[in-house]
Amino acid sequence: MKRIQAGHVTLGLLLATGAAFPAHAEEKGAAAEESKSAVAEEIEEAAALVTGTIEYGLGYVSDDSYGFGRFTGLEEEGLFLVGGIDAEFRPGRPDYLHFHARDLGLDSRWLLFEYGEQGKFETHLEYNQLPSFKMDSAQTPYQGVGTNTLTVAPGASPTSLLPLKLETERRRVSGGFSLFSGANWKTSLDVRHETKEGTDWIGGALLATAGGGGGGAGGGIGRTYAVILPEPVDQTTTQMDASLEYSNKRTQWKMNFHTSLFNNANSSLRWEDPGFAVSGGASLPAEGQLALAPDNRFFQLSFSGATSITDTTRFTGAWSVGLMKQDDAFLPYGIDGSAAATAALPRDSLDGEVRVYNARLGLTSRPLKPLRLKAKYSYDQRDNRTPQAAYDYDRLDSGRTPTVAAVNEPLSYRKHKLDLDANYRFSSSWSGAVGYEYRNTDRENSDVDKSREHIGTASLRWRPLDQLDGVLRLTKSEREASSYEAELTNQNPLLRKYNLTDRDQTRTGILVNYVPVDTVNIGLSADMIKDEYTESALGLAETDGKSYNLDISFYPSEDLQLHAFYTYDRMDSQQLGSDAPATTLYRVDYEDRVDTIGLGAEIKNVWKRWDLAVNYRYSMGEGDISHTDIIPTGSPTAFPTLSNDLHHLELSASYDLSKKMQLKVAALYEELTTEDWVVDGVSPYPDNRLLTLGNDSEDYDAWAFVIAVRHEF
Amino acid sequence: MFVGFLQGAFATHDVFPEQTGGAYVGADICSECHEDKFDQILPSRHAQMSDLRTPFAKRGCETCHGAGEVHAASEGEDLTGVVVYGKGSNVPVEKQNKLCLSCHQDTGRMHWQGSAHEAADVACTSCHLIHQPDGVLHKAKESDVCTSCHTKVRADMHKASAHPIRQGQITCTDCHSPHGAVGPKALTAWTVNQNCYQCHAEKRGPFLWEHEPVTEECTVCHTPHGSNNPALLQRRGPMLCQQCHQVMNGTSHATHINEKYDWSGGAGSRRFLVGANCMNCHSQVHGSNHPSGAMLQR
Repeated sequence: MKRIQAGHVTLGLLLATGAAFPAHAEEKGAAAEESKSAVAEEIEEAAALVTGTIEYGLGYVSDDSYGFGRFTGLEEEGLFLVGGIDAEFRPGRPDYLHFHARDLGLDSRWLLFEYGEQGKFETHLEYNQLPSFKMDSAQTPYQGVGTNTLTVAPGASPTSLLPLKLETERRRVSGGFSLFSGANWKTSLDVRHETKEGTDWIGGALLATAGGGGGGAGGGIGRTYAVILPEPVDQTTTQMDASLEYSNKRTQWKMNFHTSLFNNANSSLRWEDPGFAVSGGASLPAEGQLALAPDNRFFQLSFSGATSITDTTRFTGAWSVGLMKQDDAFLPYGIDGSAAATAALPRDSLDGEVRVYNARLGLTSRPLKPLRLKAKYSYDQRDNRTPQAAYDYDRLDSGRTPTVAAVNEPLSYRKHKLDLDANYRFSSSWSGAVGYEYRNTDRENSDVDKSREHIGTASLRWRPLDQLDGVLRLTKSEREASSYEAELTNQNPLLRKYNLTDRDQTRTGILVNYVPVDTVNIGLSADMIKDEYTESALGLAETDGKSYNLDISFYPSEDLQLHAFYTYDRMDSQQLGSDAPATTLYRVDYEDRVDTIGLGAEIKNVWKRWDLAVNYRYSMGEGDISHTDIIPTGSPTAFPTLSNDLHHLELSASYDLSKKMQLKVAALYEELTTEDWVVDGVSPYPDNRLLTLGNDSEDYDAWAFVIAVRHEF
Repeated sequence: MFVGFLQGAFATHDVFPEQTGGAYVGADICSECHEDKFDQILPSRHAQMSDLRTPFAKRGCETCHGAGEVHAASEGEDLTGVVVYGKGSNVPVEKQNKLCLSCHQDTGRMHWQGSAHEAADVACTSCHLIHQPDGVLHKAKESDVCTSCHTKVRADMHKASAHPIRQGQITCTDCHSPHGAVGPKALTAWTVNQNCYQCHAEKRGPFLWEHEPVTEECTVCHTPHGSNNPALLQRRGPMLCQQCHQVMNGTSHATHINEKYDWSGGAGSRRFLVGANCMNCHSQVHGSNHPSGAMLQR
């Protein structure tokens, strides 16, 4: 079976097999005596069946487009094979064996084997491939793409570039088993091994010996020359979970040991000066070197449990301790052989260690039938024990060191959260809830050492009729930072980092569901959220988000289903900045809005043998950014509007060739039109101090067609 | 009243479904009128009589629907003692769910009580099909079920930058547990960052030079379900970065950090807007392990 999916109903789904599960029964429960007879016979009859489907066929993609096939593997014009299987059978009672496969002809293929005996053991083996086609119109002066050493290709320069495609692919193999001991115990082991390979991008900068402007003492922004580099990606992540679980009607608990081992085959990326036109008699380092993501390890032991103290009161508790380790060998300060580059490092490697602690406690109770109470406490700690040292670093491989060595500042925090909720059902048509949440955070090496937040919530639910249901929810919160002392000595004291500082938040939600007749469902929702950063004279000052949605479904018969929806989503924000000289102040207004429309229809048994379906999605996104001088006052200056218009259409038809054979045809169309000032009309070399990838904005329109035969067996 | 509370908190409620519909008549009787439902459930896991935990290994249909003698005797007219699930149910959601939990209250659902879905009175049958193959367990169909209520997520996943949810490559339950979990927003991991590291392990570190919003929570800069901006960013750079980075005028780097990077600026300022903007030079925003990476440039 071929799976081409996008939106809510996919070609793959339209081609999908109706998974029929074979069954059988050999042993009977003692309590089943009175209902076995004919039932047991039918079950045993079903057990003899091996059910499933197999699909095969051909597909065709109309155009080359990385955007169209980004995560599906439909990026290339031409034919592709359609193949898929859903087989569910039991080779011997009471075992079962399932085999599923999708997208066998594409780079997004997926296969799953499951073998087990219900209630006794389960095993699985899975393979999953996930491509990510990022950019097909990039350019670079480098050769050696895919390796960690980039050299300028013969004849290449910032004004003479080579084509470059950026893509990565993940391949994951996972397997595991679970053993059930009696009715209460379960032991499991799951292992996942993923490789990620390909080429991504990363920025690299070099510092010239002189020239340019600005920067002040020891600065050098005017002498910094940046190039977007092709980054080699060759990583593996192995994760393992071993767990022991116990469940009975009253008490459940699970103990789990999690391991994550990340390995990066490339610890560094070295590149040559691409040939920047350096002015003022200055020169650039011949090469630069970046550190890429270091290998890391993570181990976590966790326990979570719950017990019903009574039928109406339940206690939950959970705890974990984790250890993050990173000890990759350091690269040298620089690579140009200068004293700055070859100076002795304070350590050979970081010996980084972060201990992670998490805990949860919860109590839910229903002391009266209409009253539900909940109390929850959570604790999260990041205890960074990485050793500190002073590093006399080499500025962008220039051979120059700063006047003051930098000392690494490991970041730690402790977060406490207490949540209390009460929900009361006044009558069959009215219920209400109130809640209070308290958050307390302590941080180390942060601008804000302590912050507290109080959150109050109230909601009302009204159900005057079986057909009409409405919910109104209000949330108000106040976050207070105990003090604000910038870690960086030159940070503007008027700045407040928005995730740390004082904030007033108001959130309102409305939800209405109406079923005027059994065949029609209408849903309306609105969600408004406003954040005000009350102490922020500079930085993010305010955000205002709104989301409205209307859904209508119409099911006149089992053979006809129609649906439509519209979603309006908008997020506005204001931030303040102070340009040089110190007397200026400006505001940035940021507006993001997206309208999404969906229409769909599914018609079955047309002329007795046809099933038809159509689905259409339209997403229209726009973003406006403008700057306005406040001191001195000035007129707004706006960026060109950012826009992303996506049309997505799926058509499918299935024709019954026989009782167990269908012919399926399907089509997928997608069109994306983008306007993006970051790339539109921007040359690869827009400034003699920046060399970009020179890619185009993402515009495409393409079709994929599939014709396949589906057999049931 | 407090005593009443305590009594209620420690009360033992009746077994559900209560046997108020007469005697148990057996599934054969049910199948005479409900043949379609019967045929649907037979091949399912619920009908595995070899698994003593299943409804069919207990009382067949009546394990979940209650004793059917009165109902059968009235040829379906009398629903006394019979429980109907899903749309048009004759019992509250809590009671419907309680029946499901009587078997499924395992470790995967031990956080159901107190979860967001439980508080919102979401019935198990709102998402799951009991008699038929359960669509929400199908990888490619799952997001349809979730986004029928979580409509903003449905809009988000069609935005220009989004995780491959609409392509069916990842599912909602890759990150969330709809039955409740230890993490915020029903995330299966303990924290947002631990959740993200499951697929983005290269961001875990610890790094020599850390960037505080990264260690604090990925969502300080990123939005998980969809964005108008590349890489699921909340906003575009350099404006995003300038929300937290403003330095004293006259100090080192003040001009390039504080500058008003509007579109009317000269070519000299465009290099802070195009390409990867701030990340043209400060490319290691997730942390650097280079001894010369204090400014996240190496």
